[in-house]
Amino acid sequence: MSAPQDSISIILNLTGLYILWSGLLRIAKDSGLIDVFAKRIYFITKFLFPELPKDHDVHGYIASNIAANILGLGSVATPLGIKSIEEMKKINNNKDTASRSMITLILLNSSCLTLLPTTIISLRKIYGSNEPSNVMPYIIISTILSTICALIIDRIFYRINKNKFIGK
Amino acid sequence: MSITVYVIPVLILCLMVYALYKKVNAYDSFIKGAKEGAKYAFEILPYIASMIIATAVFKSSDFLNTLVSFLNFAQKINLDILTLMFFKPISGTASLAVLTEIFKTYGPDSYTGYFASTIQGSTDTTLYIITVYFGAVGIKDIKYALKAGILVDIMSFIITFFVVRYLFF
Repeated sequence: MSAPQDSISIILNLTGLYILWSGLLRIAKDSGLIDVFAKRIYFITKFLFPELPKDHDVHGYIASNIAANILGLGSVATPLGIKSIEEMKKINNNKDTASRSMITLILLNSSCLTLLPTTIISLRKIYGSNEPSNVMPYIIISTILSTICALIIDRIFYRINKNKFIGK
Repeated sequence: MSITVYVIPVLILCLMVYALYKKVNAYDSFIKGAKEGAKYAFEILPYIASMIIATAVFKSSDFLNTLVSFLNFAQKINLDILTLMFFKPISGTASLAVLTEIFKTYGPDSYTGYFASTIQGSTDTTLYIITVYFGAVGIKDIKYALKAGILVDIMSFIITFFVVRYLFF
């Protein structure tokens, strides 16, 4: 059984990526780029994440996470997403329970809005597809519809469980 | 393919130029961030390891075949697609393996090939995301995240089914 060893090599690969992207993200934060990004994107994120405070860097982190997903850079999106969740935890008084915004972000990442599905296209090429990128419209339409669906599901679940967030 | 090769280098270059313009010590900032990145990876190690081991145990048992043939009562969707749908929310590597198997058997340009590509491309591994995102920052009570995530996956599979069915000719 090689699974335990496999998991270590997977983590080692991920560690390199996390270090690179968390480092670059910190440069973006310290140079004020995240702040600029956060202000530009606020008109969208305020609808998706109504409980997050205005003028907070978290909007910039969320935007960079979604942008990485759109570009088909899944492994880049992960450290950016973790950073967003970490900021949301601080906003939520460092409690170890999930907040409404965290779940919204998780569902957005789970439905994964992708406009450049690079991995699939290269895989199709390897396995002898005549037109590897012809699958793009299928993926784009499905991913947009499933993202809308994810946001609706998120709102419905929030309405049902609303009282569980209060008083804890 | 050709555009995406340039995305990351250009992104990094722009960031460096901006940091220089803003007179930020890029190296110090990078190291501070890198420490956080290393911490995340260390935090999620036990979660990832246990998930990969569990998936491997599950894959090597014959339970999945039994389950898939049981689910396929209507004979509408083929077994390989059902297997892909089953692994997609659980593990990225496992679903990629199923996808290559489908490409080998049916060819990427077949109806099944398109269906499988769209499933693989339009959703992400929900369980992995929940484990990693919440594990890295120490969230213990995940509320309804898992239930909603699985529901999102099921809905995306239904959407994908109709999209591929009506676009493919």
